[in-house]
Amino acid sequence: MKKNIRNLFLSIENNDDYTKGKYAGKKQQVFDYIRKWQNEKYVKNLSIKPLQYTFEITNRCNCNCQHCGMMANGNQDKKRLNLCELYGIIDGLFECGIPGYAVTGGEPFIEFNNLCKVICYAKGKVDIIKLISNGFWGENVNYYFSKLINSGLLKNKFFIPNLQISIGEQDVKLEFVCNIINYYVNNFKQSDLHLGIINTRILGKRISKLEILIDKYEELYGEFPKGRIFLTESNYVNVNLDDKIRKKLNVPVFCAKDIICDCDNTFQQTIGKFVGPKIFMKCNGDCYPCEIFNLHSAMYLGNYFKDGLVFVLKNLNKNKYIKFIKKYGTKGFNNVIDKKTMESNYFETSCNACEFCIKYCEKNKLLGEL
Amino acid sequence: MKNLDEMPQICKYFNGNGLVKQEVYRSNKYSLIYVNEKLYEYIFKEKFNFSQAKKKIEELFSVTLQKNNNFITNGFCDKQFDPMNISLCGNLGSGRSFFYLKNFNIKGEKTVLATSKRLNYGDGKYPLFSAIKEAVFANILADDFNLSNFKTLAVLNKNEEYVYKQEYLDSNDKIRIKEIPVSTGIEIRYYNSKQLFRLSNYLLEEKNISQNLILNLAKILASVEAEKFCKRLLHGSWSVGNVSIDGNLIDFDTACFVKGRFPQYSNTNKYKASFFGFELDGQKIMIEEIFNHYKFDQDKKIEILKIMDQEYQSKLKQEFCELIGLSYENHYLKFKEKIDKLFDKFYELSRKFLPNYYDTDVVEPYVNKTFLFDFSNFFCKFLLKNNSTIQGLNLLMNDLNKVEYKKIGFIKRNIIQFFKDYLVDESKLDSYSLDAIEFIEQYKDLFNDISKQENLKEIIIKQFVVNFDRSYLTGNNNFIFELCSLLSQNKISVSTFNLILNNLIDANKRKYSDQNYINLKIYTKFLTYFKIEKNNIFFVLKAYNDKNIDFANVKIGEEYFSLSYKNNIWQTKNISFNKMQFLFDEEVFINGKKFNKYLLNY
Repeated sequence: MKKNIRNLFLSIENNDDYTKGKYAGKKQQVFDYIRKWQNEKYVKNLSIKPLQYTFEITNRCNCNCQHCGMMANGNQDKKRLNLCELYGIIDGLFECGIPGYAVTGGEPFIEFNNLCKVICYAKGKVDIIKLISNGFWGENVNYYFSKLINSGLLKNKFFIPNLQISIGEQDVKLEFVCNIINYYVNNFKQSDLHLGIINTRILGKRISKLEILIDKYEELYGEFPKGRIFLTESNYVNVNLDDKIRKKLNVPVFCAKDIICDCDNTFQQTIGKFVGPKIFMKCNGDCYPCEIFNLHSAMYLGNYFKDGLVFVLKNLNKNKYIKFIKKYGTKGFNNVIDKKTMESNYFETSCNACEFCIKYCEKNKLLGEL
Repeated sequence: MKNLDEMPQICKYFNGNGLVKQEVYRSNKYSLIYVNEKLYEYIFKEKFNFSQAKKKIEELFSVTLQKNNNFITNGFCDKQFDPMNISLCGNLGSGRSFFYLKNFNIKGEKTVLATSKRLNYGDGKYPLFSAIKEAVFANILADDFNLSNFKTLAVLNKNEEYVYKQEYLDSNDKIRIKEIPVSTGIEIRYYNSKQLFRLSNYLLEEKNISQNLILNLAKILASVEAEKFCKRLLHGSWSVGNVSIDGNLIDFDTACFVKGRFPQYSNTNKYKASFFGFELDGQKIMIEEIFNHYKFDQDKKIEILKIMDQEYQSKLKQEFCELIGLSYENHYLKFKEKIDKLFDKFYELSRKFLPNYYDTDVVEPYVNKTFLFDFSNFFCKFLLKNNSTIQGLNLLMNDLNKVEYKKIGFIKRNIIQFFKDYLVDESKLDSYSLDAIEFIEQYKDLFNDISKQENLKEIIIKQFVVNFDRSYLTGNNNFIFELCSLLSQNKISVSTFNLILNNLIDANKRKYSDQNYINLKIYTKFLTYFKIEKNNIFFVLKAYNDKNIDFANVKIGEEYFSLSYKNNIWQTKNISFNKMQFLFDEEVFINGKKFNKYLLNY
């Protein structure tokens, strides 16, 4: 890398100031406010009280990346959530006491009208915590930002909303992303809205996408704004990807013993590097306790449409692997599974390693009742 | 519900007036604290479930002989006759047990035959810890010995306390009485043939005593004594009242397992025949007395006593073959000469002991450091570890502790008088070592020959199982008493108590079978043992409360094994045979942390 460009970005590591992280509260006392609010809701007697409900507004995407970590454009039957379903989700979150939601996809902005309507509908009920996108709409940045603001993007009660733009392998022009960055730094304060870039690390690439982005920005707008944008770097790839393609991508791998320690999720209420606990809902209503990468039966919480949110919340609280991770962290798997197994299996992400560990425990029945 | 009017099966063996009818009444509800799960399933033909079994047994057996308005049915207590006058202690028969329903004998109620004025013999009281002890020994021995005794179905707490008076000798050899407040209970004994038809019942009933019957019994008694020597059981109180007409052992109040095979006692040191390895002498005295009392042919008596010796020696050799992992049928004739030599040395050396006189009492602290040769340790580990002769010597020679006493009472005189030949002359320790080396060389030679004909793996596994020291039940161990105390103080639940006892029993059987359980360890939150099969070894952990354990591992040697959880049991995958030598000092990790808190320190 020609220069240490990572210094240009804000750290996503947690700190004690709840207003400063990648995901942040509007006030330092955010947890007190949330606790008070949740005490009047269904979740008050639950051990795990989710802060965020992430859902795929659609699983379609205008890009068609080979190794999409979001598994977009797959063979799912259900492609999008309709407005009625979206409003139903918001009402359910409000009634049950989940204070925020995140919208993911596919590409959420191809459902922009419904996205804005749901933000508007949720106003005063529950907060929009995160919007994730490939940034294609940066071509017409004024329009999109204006509409988002008018819908109530900045009207949260508890959280500072966060816009995450992924620049992985998408073929979206980087100048659109630069437009978004530029609009953001000129129109928003850090306390109004957070902006983050998600970069996918691919081994063997001579020049990283991030470098190209910065070059492009400097070309279009001058100096890259230091200390305004969060950077998340990952190795995420589609877990269902064919092994040959996976090998070709040359994604770095780490042994389960080490990489399993990278996950910070303990299902305790937290904001900063991430928001947790959370529930992730696929477009078809299937719910899981983590976003995207742990879609397997041992972590299945139920289907929102068939079983309802209360059922999903109950399962979140009684799933033994969630209880285990809450108590020991994912690193606790190192104490459950023998060292030889943990050292001889390699994964790209802690999520993949976690999935392996859970499946291994399930197959060998290594956990008790919890 | 069993038919309450059914006559006890035992009645058919009594011809005359040997049984006394007594009315049985409903009592206040007793509390089940132990149930033999497998026997329960066999008797009641239903899958064991603790709460269901508790309800059923408490309903069926909350009964008393104390008169009240709630008559149920009749029970029967058995009169006895002892020509030696040692077993009845002034009672006319069973003073605290009676036959009830078809196959049960309830121990722990004062009967009309309890006429003894002696301490603890005439009040019908049965301390709960004694009931549990008998249940444990009865249920182990019923499976371990070739001749199966009665089994205990259950023990119930009568929820009443009394002061148990225990006699002991003080340092001046004076009899003192220690008062111990204890709970009382009843033991439900199950029999299905003559296991509880005592010789003393027969002697009372039968006017024409059969010499052949006595001869057969004498042979069986000799055979049982040989088994006791090899299986390291001290009964402690032989008498016509403590053996059935078929030779089954009865009453285990004074029984214990021993670690070494040297002379040691659990009941009294007054008689040589009360010491481990010498109870055959008692059985012989008993047979002699019967002959004398009934004025049988004296020549026949001498012949029978000789036959007893022969039977004893013959059975010892069969049992010795088992101890070294062999089969008498398959190996003895092929290797007779070598096995005979080994046996002779084993029989001689295994009785050698230091003159730690007081420590011949099984409850004394140095009892296990008093015998010179630990053959069990040697048989258990020598071939397994593929040791040299010197390493074998280390396994065979016991860790001794010579005890100097400030004062010696009558015991020294008795020990020297009875066992002079077995006392170790400390100036000749080197010659004992030479004997041991010779034994080891011969042992290696035998198995070298056998290994040319067959794989030693199963023999080694068998040696390991058969010779593994019994857990918590050797002489100086007060485990059962302490466990009962924990229960009475509500420090453990009844279901935990029952779980511990059922596993204590299963893990202390030493008859080699398809599934063997050894090395029981009882921790504060769970118990563990190894399950050994012909081709598999598993480490098993059973939690008292499943909520205590999220995950578990065990370190065996240098390797860690994860435990799988299924049906309330944690178990490893198969542990390879080459790890067997490390099965003694495993380390348990619960929820990622080493756990070594034992329920009781034994």
